Order: sequence, then C-alpha cells, then structure tokens
Amino acid sequence: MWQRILLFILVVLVLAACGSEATSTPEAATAVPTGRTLVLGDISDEAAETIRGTQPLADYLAGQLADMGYSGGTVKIAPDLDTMIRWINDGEVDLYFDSPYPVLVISDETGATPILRRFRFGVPEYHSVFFVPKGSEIDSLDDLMGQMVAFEENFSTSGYMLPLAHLVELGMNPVLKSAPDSDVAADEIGYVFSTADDTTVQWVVSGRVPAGVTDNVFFSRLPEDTQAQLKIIAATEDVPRQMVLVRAGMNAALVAAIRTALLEMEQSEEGRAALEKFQTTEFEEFAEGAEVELARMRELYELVQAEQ
Amino acid sequence: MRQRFRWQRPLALKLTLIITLIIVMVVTVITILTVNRERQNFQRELEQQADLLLNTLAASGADSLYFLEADYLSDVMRDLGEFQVVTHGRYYDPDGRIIADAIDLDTRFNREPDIFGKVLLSGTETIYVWQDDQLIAGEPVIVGAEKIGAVSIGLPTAPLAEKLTAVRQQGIVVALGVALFGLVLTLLVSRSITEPLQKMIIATEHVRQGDLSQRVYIYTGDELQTLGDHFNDMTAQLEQTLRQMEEEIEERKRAQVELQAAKEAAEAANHAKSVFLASMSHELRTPLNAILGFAQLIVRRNLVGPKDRNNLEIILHSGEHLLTLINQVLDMSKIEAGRMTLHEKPFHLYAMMEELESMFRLRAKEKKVQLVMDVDPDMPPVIIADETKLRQVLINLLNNALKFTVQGHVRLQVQYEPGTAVSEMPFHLLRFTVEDSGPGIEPDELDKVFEAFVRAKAGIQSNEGTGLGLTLSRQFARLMGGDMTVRNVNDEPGYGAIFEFTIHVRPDAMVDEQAKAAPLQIIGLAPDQPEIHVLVVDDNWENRRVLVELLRPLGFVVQEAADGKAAVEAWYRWRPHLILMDMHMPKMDGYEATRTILGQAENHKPIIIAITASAFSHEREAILGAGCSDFIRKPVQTSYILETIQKHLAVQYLYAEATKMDMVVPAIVSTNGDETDGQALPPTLLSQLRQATSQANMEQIEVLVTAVATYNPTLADELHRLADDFEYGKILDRLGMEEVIE
Repeated sequence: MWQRILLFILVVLVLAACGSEATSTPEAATAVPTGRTLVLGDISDEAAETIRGTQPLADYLAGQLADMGYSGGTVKIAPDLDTMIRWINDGEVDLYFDSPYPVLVISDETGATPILRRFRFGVPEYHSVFFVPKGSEIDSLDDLMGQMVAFEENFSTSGYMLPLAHLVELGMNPVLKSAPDSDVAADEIGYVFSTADDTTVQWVVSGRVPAGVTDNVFFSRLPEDTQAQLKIIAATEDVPRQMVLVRAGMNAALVAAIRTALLEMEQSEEGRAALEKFQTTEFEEFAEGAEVELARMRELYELVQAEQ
Repeated sequence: MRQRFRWQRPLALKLTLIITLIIVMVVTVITILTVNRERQNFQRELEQQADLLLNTLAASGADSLYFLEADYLSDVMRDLGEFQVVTHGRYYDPDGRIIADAIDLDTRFNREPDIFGKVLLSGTETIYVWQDDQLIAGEPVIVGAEKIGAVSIGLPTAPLAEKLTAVRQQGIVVALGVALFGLVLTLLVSRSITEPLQKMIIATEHVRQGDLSQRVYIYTGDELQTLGDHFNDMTAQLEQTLRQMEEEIEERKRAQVELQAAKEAAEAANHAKSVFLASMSHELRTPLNAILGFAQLIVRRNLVGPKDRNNLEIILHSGEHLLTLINQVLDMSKIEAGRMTLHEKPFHLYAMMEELESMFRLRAKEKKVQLVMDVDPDMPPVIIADETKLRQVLINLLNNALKFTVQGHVRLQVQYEPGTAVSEMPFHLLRFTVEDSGPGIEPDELDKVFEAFVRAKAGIQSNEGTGLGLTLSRQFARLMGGDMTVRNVNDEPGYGAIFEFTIHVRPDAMVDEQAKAAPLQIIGLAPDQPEIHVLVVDDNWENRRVLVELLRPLGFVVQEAADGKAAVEAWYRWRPHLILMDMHMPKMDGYEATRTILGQAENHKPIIIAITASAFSHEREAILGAGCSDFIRKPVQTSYILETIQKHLAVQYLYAEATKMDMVVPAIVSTNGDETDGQALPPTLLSQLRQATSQANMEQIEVLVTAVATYNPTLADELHRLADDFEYGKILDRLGMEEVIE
C-alpha cells in the first residue's frame, strides 16, 4: 500500500514543479529465461527491497543449476502467509526462506521440507524479549497478569509463537484481544498484534500498551536512548534464526544440487556477493537432522496452534 | 574660514562619473529589488509545496498515525529522505513523540516528546520556520475533532540560493553592460556640452588678458548657443564701454591737470593773500604804532588843548578800532589757512578771571551794570590750555555783553566738569556761560551771529564791532576742542542773551601740586643778618645780569666776574661767601677757577655752586670732584637758586603775604594802585622798558618784555598784549612810571 502512496507523493511533487527530480528508475527486467526458472519466494510488505536483496541469490542458484535445466532465477513476494502457501502448493515457488514458525506452518500446509539453516545477519539463533518502559511497576511476567502486551503478528516466530508458547507453558493464560485498549481480566494476559516490531516498540513508548515483545536482535538494534528508556522483564528460549524450505515434489537431485550450491556459496566471489545482498552470512546443515532440531519448534508450534 | 571642498576635475569627467554612478546605482537597486522579489516568490512557492506535501502526508498517514503504525510511517519518511524529497521529515504521536524520521532513525522511540512536535500539536495551523538552508513546516493531523498526531517536513532552500545567485550575477552583468553603455553615451553628451564650454573658457581667458575682440561661435541650437551669443554681446558691449571709459579717463586726466593747475593757482593766490595780509598787517601796524603811540603820549602829557585833545581821542579810538580789525582779519586768515595752532601751557584760571574782572569792572560800574564772576569752587587752580585764545574769547563775549546791556547784569559763569574723557587723553571740560540782560537776539539772527562780517541788529545799531569777533570766538572754542552756542534768555528776545562755550583742558597735576605747595614769594633777606657777598661768574653778560638782577634786589651784595681768572682775582680781593660759577668759560674755566680758589683758601673756603647746561652725569661727577658744593642746571629757576643758596648758607628770607592769586602773579596783586606793578623787576630793566615805551620803540619793547618774562611771565604776557595793541599808556600805568615820564 505504501508504495502507492509514495508514488502519489512523487507525482504530486513533480506536478508541483518544485524542481526536485524524482529518480525512480524501474527495476531492470529480469532476462526472460529460455529454460526453467528457479523461483524464490518470500513474504514481505517491502517487495521491491526484498526482490533487490534476493534476486542475486536467485541468479546465482540458477547459474549453479544450469546443468539441471535452469536458465534463470526469479523472486516472488507474497503479501501474506496464505498466499505463499497457495503458491508453494501450486508449484509457483521452489524455495522459501523464513523463521521457524512460518516454516512449520507452510511445511504443515504444503509438505515443503526444511533443508538448511540460514544465518541471517550472521545470527544463527534468536529469542524473544518482553519489555516495559523503565520505571514501570511491571518487573516480571507475573506483573503482566491483567495487563496488555503487544505481539508482532500471528505468523511471527519471535513476535508470536515464542512469547505465546512461553506464556502458555508458564500457565499465564494469554488471551488475544482486538485492540490495545481492550479490557484484560485480572487472571489473564491480554495480547494484541501490532503488525510490526517498530509499532510494538512505538506502542510501548507512546504508552498505548504497558508491555511489548520483539526478538532480541531487533531490540539490541534500537537506539541506545530508547533501550535506556526500556527494561526487559523476560526472555524466551533460543530458536534457529531462519531456515530454507523446498517445495514438496522437488526431485532429490535438484534438492541436493540446491543444498550444495547454497552451502558452497561462500567459496566463490559471486556467491559471497549474492550472500551479502541476501543479508546472510552462511547456510548450514542441521547438525542432528532437520526433524531432530525442529522437534522443540514443533512442540512450541503445537502449543500455539492449540491456543488458536 | 574653512573652504568648502571642491572637486577640481574637468566637467566632462564629472558628468561621466556621476551619470555612470547613477546608472550603476539604479541597476543595483533594481537587482536588489528583483532578488528580493524572487526570494519572496520562492518562499511563497516553497510554502505552497510544503503545504501540499504536508497535506498529502497527513492524509496518507492518518490511519497509521491513528494506530501508531511506526513501521509504515517510518518507511514513508525513510523513502522521502532517501529520495531527497525532504531535508527533514517526521511523524509525531498525539503527545509529540517522534514516530518516524526521514533522516535519523535514532530519533524514534523516545519517550520524551519533541519540542517542535508539541508546538505543532498545540495549535491547528501550519507552522513555517525558515532556516538558513531549509524551510521547516509542520501541522497537526486532525481526524474528526481529535489530534491524532502531527507531521513536519523540511524543504531545501538551495534552489532559492541558486536562483538568487543567478539573478545577482545577471544583475551584475546587466549593471556592467548598462554602465558601459552609459559611459559611452555620457562621454558623447558631455563632449557636446564641454566643447562649447571649452571655447568659452579660451575666449574668456583672452578677454581676461585684455583681448576684447574675442568671439565664440557655437551652433548647438540650445542654451549653450544662447550663452555664446550673450558672451559675444557682452564682450562687444564691454569693449565699447571700455573705450568710452578710456575716453572719459583721458577727459578726467585733462580736467584733473587743469584742476591741479587751478588748485596750485588758488594756493598761490592764497599764499599771496597770506603774504599780503602779513605784509599789510606789518605795514599797517607800523604806521599805527606811530599814530597810536604818539597820540597816547600827547594826550598823557596834556600838550594840546581840550578841542585838539578830543580830536586826538577820536584818532586814538579810530586807530584802536582799525588795529582790532587788522588783528581779527589776520586771525581769520590764519584759521582759514589752517595755520592757527594752539599754544597750550599751564596757567592760573583764577588769575585770568581776576584780571578780566578788573578789566571790565570800571566799565560796568559806569554803565551801572552788575558784573558777576561765578567760578566753580572745584576748579583746579592750574590748567593747561591756550590762555591767550581763551582770554580773547572771554574778552570778546564780556565786551559784547557789556556793550548791549544798559541795565541789569552781566554774568560770567565757569563750570568745571572733570573726567570728561573724549579720547585717550584725560581731558576735562570747562563750560563758560556769559549771560546778559540786554535786548537779546532776534530768532532769525541766532544762526547768523557766528558768520563772518555779519552783525546782529543791535550790533549794527551800536555801530561798533567788526563782525568778526563772534566768528573768531567760536573758531577758537572749536580749536580748543569745544564749541560755542547762543540762545536767548527765556528763549525769546528782550530778556538777554546767553553765549555758552566749552573747551577741553588738561589738568596739570604737577603744576597743580606745585601751585598748592608753592613757597611764599621771597621779597628779600630777613633783617639782622650779616651781609651776604655773592660773586657771579659767567662769560655771558646776559646770564650774569639775570642773576645779579635776581639777587641784588633781595639784599644780597653781588659782584660779577667775566671769566675764571677774574673770579680768582675777585675772590682774593673781596672774599665772597658764595660763588655762582659757570663751568665753561674762556681763559680759565670753572673747574680750574674752583680748584684754584679752594686750593688757596684756608679757613674761609667759599661755597661754590656750579651752573651748567650739561645734563650728563659724568660732568656732574667732575663738577663735584673739582670741589663745587652743588650745581644748578641752566636755564636757572629763581626759586631753585634761592633754595640752594639757603641750603648752603642758611640765610633767612622775608616772604610776601600770599593768597592763591599772589602765588602766581605777585606783581599785580593789587588793582587799586597801592603797589606798583613790576616792583620785582630789576631797576635797570624797568628803566629801559619805561624808556622804550615812552619812545614807542616797538622792537626794543618786545626785547625788553621778553626779558621781563624771566622774572614775571604773567606780567610779560600782559605787556606783550598791550604792546600788540599799542596801549603804551596802559603799559606805563602797569609799570607805574608817571614820575619818570615827567
């Protein structure tokens, strides 16, 4: 939506003849593949930026898979999880990268398989933190009883699955509310979705909710002044940062070729450049196998699913 | 006086620079105005753009602001910043906290509200803040009645700076171009003005050097041509005027030469007249001398019968009138010739008044007219003025007053007005008023009585006078620094006339003090004193006679010596007590004689007093070194000689009974004839004077009267006056010599 607004503003500015020059250059069209095309999918509300960051990886992988009949790679951005599930089910997306919770959802819905771990921003694992304004009377999760807490969105690992599962496991009766100012009973902890970590922090800072939850990496990147004005009252357990998911039905040779290409990316100049654009330092095998390592994730997932 | 600064440069340069300067100034002003207008336009446009962008951001971000969707709002602002659409961009929550920032993400998530955000949320209007490099604009975002937040943006003003720089540079280029164009144009215009002016200057310079034939030819068809035409007309007229002036000057020179010749002729004639008058005066006075002198003697000696005596008296009267006329005409001629001068000297006014009273007392008594002399009691006894002229004026006025007054009085009043300074000299004023109770003067004659040879009706009727008396009197009064006026008593005829005149006099403090402290008149040696022998030594006979005639009448025994050698012989022979020694003599001078006498005298050394004309101190020392006891400078003063003698010989004098008058004129103390005038004169001098008067020997009388001045100056003045008037009988009366005549 925001792209339309920005486009509108730029058009207005041009019409106003303010002399400023709009420099919106259209994204260079991806060359039309003559053979098969490897499609990488993602869910984002910043499609252009995501495409700019992912396209080199798609091109790289396509190049690595040329022997497999791939002549090019492309990126498809879905606005939400359901769309992505439908695309994967329809075979329109070959590879998908995300955190554990959506990966498990898509995997359940489409039969797609996690094949590698992704170190996004060099972070192999992360967790969620509960925070309140410094000076708040809330010092622990117990103090949250009867209070409202802001989660990110309902397919977020750190902004939904981890904190919700954590509260459930602690038996603190989290209850989804429709708005930040909704009533919360004394024997429950109300939670509401802010749709973004930025908004979660803003709500706490602006006093719209007494507490919020984000992942620890996001929290650590907040301005120091902001961090100084907040205090963390609880943290969840660590989970893998992101994983690579291949659609169901992909032949094993192709999956193996993709795995190999991803694992060896850092060994070539082209691979390192694509990795950098993709905000990833490396891909890694599940040490004990995907199922073993995802077992705890699945427990948490099921707890969350049970709450819905 | 400070001179105003003047810029000494050619007119063309001044015009060019001034006009060019004006052009540059005008272009500069226009450029400044243009820049300002461009700035205002830009600011207005930028504010409009800011308004539009703010409204857009408010509208598009309203929903997100409502839900505090920081993520979305940050994306919007970040994109605006990345695309450099704005230099500043923020969304604020309802409390003013920054939700999104286009430039610095770290400003977000601050629990402290932003100041500008709070300001925006405190109102409802758009706020503009102009900064050096950007325009900051912001407004609250209002949904319904609720302020859900605010938005602010910053737009760069760099385009304005670029635009203004372009306009400024454009203005400079235009200014230079216009200035260059103006310079060329001004040069052309100024040359068209200054070239004719240059012609005018050259022509004027020629005119200044005297070439009036110069003409200028200017054909510009404007004021300069008119100026040139006027210049030509002016020089032509000037040339003509100068020519006329030269002719007039030539004419005047000729007239001046003629005038000078006439003047010289007139002066020659005037000189001839003066010579003639002097000559005639002398020629007339000489026979008058014989006529009046012998007529008086004949009358005095009773040599004729009563009838002839009457005729002789007519001759005397007519002669005296003729003499008065001659004297007055002579005075008038002197005044007209500017040769009448004042002879000021100290004199005693009281004495003059006494004299005048005695002069007119008898006549007044005969006419039964009261003669009153009223003198200011503050009058100083001695004043400095021209005594002769003052006396002449007073005699004339008193004579007239007595002449026309048949009954009543004639009053002479003298007022003294001290300290009337009319110049740097301390002049004092004497005011004389002669008032009579006669017929007075007709009003129409009052202005004429002072004119020469004009007599009033009464004067004509009396058939007396010359018509010059009052004229001379007023001239004398004016000569003495004053003036004379006349008026009637009660300002109408019939009650008498008042003649009033003033003169300036100078008080002589020294003379005044001398007069006040003057010793009493010495009339001889006191009795019961031993005989005092005095030897007078001088090679000049007159000098010896003066001293002899001074000392001998007082009782001193006096002998004379004509040189030093004779003095030594006289000392041997006579042994005088005192020697008055002239120091410069032939044969043996005073020094040698003094040393000889004192060298030979043993117990009875005489007192030797030197008499010298030298005023040098070295001679004084030489005199005292020779042995003289004292010295006296020539001309000798009687009182000083007697005082010096008294100082060295301790003699005692007899003094006359003294009044203020006595101190001055001891010889005419009495007017009743009890004492004879001239008693103090040496007998020889008195005898010679009597003899000369009896023989009417004018030249001898003048010589002897001059000698009288040594003993009695006042008497000498009177005798001079009587001699001038040929009043030989009166001279003999003053000398008291009836028996001699017999």
